[in-house]
Amino acid sequence: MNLDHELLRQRNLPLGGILFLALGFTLTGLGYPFYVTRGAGWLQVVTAGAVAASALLGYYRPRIAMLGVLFLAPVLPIPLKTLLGYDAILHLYLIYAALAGLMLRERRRIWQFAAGLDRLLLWAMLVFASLAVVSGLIAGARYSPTIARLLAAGPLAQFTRVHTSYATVMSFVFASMNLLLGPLLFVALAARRVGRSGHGDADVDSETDRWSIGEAIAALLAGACLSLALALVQTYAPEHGLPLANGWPSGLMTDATVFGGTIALLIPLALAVAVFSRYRLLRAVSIAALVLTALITIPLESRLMQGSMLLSPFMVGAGWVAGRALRGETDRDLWLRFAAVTVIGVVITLGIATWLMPGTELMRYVRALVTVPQMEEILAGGARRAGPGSSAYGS
Amino acid sequence: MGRDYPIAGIGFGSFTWELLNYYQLSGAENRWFDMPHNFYLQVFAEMGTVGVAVLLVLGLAIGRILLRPLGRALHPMKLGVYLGAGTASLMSFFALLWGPFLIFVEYQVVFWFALFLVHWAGEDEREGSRGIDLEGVYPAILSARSSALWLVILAISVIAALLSPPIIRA
Repeated sequence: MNLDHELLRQRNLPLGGILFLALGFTLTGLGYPFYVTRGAGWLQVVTAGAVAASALLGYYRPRIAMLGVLFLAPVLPIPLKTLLGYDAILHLYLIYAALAGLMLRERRRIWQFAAGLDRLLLWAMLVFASLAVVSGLIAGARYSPTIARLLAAGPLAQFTRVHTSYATVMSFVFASMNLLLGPLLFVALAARRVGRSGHGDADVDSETDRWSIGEAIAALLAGACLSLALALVQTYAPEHGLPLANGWPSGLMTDATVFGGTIALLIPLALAVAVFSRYRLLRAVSIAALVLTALITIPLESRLMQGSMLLSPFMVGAGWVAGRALRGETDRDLWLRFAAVTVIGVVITLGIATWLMPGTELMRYVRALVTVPQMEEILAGGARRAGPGSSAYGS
Repeated sequence: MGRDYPIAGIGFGSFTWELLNYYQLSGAENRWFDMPHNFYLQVFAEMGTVGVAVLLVLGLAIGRILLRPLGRALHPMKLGVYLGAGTASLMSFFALLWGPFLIFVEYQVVFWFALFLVHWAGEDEREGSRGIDLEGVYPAILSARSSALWLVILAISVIAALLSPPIIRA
């Protein structure tokens, strides 16, 4: 056990593991949108479960769990919700479990951090989140069949809004919990910073801290790459006779969506210039172009990628890499990390290219491998879904 | 919905469900939309003016974090992170005019992570290394006045929600 633990503490393991998972996801989805493949969907379920279990059991360091959550959060909802139905929220259970484990382990640091946080921000986060939870719970109660029955004869009968499904009631609970996830992550991340900055944690130092943030960025980049790839594949699905997974008519897909997706894939190239160019001026121009791209692209991207907030990791990554590049810190670690992310991007791009060129033997082979017999039923079910929940919790 | 339930809103997460009733009541033929596609409007519809007011305070607090590094000499790496994450955070506020993105897990994780990076980049090195005595942590986080204000806001929202009338079915 000790030996395992030491192995797991090697610095490059979290990043390596995440990149391995990213490659696994990409390869299993290669050539076909893997949100309709049962095998890949369950692979992600198993992975998420492993991450959650590791956080809860404390076998890995919490950082690994945190990185896993960061990576999985942008990727998981699309396949699982389509695979299991729009009310399927298994991935949320897993993410909450992982975060809960992380928060429990880090509670001392979280308290320490909270004491030093901007008071107004902390107060507003607490009030807004608690307001959402209370409001969601009350709304859920008003729809509850049981409460409706209990209050039917009393003066509070008018309190209820009778609904017939407990799935509806649960959706309010999870809507409220959803809103808590982000602030919790913010506090958890920042709390780790505090813990590392001078409270006697012997096995971490400022260098490790830099690694941690870098790894988190890399994890988000990888997750965002996959999400963007899925979004692009979905964009082109109707052109090849496939209905969209979330039941939207193909007419809703706009040119702006394709434009934004293309820009998103070009951003890593601009990053490459920012890192690899020998000329400071070119690096600076590339960085400026990245910021400008964000300013132009993000407001345009409001349909398929839902505001293109998924582009944010690219901008964060751009800023981080650019900062190091401007300082001349293009050491081996940076190159390795960047190369790894680039490899993933290339694999994803190849996957998309394969998808865009149907009819090849490879394409047919891959489709046959990953397609399940019930796919048509799943797609038909997805196409039928409209109204509540059709885009509220889907992509 | 905002007009019908101005104080506490229709209830967090209710918009999608109650929209069907509003469609029926208004006799609308186009029923494609299940979201207002504007986060601010959605908060108003679901959490009322109370929710919007708190959201404004939250925006103000986030704005302070975004502005904090200005005028400071930042390490080049932190400057890069600040530029990237700051741009992403700023653009997110505009993006929210077109969609209810912050209710989606995948987007809000990204949003808060970017905000954390801004916070980290603008952090004074001395701030991060100070020791904090855990004795009396709660008073250090929230004063009695802040806690009282928190409870009052929650109470207003709860009372308004409990007293609000049910939707009239078509």
